[in-house]
Amino acid sequence: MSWCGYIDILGSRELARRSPHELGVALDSFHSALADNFSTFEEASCVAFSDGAFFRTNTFANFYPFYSRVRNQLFQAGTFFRCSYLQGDIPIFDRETEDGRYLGATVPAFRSFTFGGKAPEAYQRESEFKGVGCTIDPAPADIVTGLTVKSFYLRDDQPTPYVDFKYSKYELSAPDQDLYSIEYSGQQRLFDSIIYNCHVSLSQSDKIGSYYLPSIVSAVRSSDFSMIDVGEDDRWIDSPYVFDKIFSGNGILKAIKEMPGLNYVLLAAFDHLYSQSSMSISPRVEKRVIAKMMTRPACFRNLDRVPSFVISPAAKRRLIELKAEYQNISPRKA
Amino acid sequence: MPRYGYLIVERDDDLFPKSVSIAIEARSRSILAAVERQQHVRISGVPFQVAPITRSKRTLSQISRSLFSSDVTGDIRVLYHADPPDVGVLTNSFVNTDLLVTVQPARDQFPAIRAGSTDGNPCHIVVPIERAPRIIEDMIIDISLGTLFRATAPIRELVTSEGLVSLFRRKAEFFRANVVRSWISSIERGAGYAPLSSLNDIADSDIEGRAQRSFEAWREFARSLTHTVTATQLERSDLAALPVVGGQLPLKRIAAAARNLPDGDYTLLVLRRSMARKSPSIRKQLSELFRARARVNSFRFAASDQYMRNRATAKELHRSGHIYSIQIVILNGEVRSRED
Repeated sequence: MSWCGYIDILGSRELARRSPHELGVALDSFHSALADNFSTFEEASCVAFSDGAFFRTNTFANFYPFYSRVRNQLFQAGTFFRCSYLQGDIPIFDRETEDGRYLGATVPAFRSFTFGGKAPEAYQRESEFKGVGCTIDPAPADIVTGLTVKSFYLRDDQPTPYVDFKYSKYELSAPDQDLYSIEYSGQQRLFDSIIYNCHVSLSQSDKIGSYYLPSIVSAVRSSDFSMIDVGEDDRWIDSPYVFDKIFSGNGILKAIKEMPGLNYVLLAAFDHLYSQSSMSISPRVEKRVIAKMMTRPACFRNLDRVPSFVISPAAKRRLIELKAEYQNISPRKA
Repeated sequence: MPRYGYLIVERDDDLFPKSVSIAIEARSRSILAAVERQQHVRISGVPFQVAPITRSKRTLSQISRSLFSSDVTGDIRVLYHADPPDVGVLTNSFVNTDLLVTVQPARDQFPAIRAGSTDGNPCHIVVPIERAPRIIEDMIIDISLGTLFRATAPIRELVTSEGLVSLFRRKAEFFRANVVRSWISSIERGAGYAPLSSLNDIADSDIEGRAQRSFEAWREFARSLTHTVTATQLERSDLAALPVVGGQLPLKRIAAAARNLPDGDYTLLVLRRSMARKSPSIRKQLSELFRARARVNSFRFAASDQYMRNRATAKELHRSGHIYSIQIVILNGEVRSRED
């Protein structure tokens, strides 16, 4: 079964208004990322033009090596995009005419591309996705494990579920850590770039800043929270960089505190910790996590309206218990 | 409009990550902020942006045709590339540029400044790969300090009478005469430009040291140019004769700072009221003239041409009593009143 999609870089209109020269450099960077990594995209074709590209391939998994490298190359440079990936095909029709061809010209004076098949749907899915990353038409469970992660974005301020491609451990690791090796030459760490560009975008508009929420949730759910503990010096141990940046002092809660939906990120992080700790988190860890979450009391408001794809009912119950313990509220007090 | 520096590298090059470009910009800004602090000046420099461009197995000629050949090409000052550019690329893509320094990485070679290919490309610098960030930072600092010093005599006089190409050539000559002080090993006789902020061998991470030595190099260069001193030997500064506002002017510190500055026309600005508890618009206006969180009695010498850019802001703040401003002349390191 064929798979196909559309990728479009964000912010090109704003960049065109601000600096046509910088837009030119950004577009060059986009096309270079596609060209540089295309050799990893098997049984595929891709037509890139201006700030977008349609592509197709024969099987689902073929896209991941290409996509993850393009994402890495562009995200670390601060060029973010949204992408759709769905079942189907996109035939490409190429028209040119000899009329008006200049004498000796090596390219036709007129050339047009039209994209058939699932192209309109791919374009529509991409434009509906209010985030950075890739929205995958629900990947059938039997196709791939380990490549995808369930995440969510905000539509009209409400969480909306989608499926994204995972980030690798190296991409989400801390700059000064050598725990993980790079998987290919030129691979870069990404989490700091995502947070930095979210912070910068929030100064332009909340709506643009909220586009980074789904990638942060994808990063959380791509991480392993199962080994986390608190050391004798009260520091986190065996904690992934993403976890540290959320639940430590000068982390993302300060850098992107105005991001719409940040509370959902905290709830999703708690949910991930809960589910990976076999529904039983170490009390030391719980105590520090709840203390951090209590710095944003809005996390706990209207929890019954928060969908289960953000935080499971079991994790929600545990969170409410922890809040009561933290505030020293007992059902037995007279 | 900002100035640009581009690193044309393959995607697995050490200079490709955007974080490297961000670090270069940040360190340059820190050094310029240190100059402002040390010398009590305001450098109203044009922003400088550094960014990688993926080489993607293209030649420089192909990249230039794609990115640098249109009317909207930015003001590019530094181009880092594995090969030296040919004259065709320079004349086709950068024909209107005032200054473009090309930088080439080289293994197992000492850093050197070589002659460039065109007037717009007066020099070509070869550096070991690990020193590439340093030379780009030095270029950014040099261009920004140049903006400050070009507003003062005798550099302004030199540019007016002989043009920018002559200024760049004189800088290269000054660099050659003092090259033993530099981390760059040599400079060819035909080189038409050299960054004076490279005239030291201070460690890359020594922000204060690099700031100090960069400014000193420019000051020495300015003093080395011959200019006419019309005043006779001055006995004392007019500083004490300046109208003292409530007895609060820090005269000794102003005099000490003035001795470091090149001759020329300046506006002396003194902060009279704290920035704290002021409206955001007032704080923003004050930050154009002083650094953020400057204390009362902080002062800045603004060179005339720079001051013109902030003149309207300064007048308004002077009227409202937030700052004190007066036109002065610095001559042989002494402050004199200026009759407008």
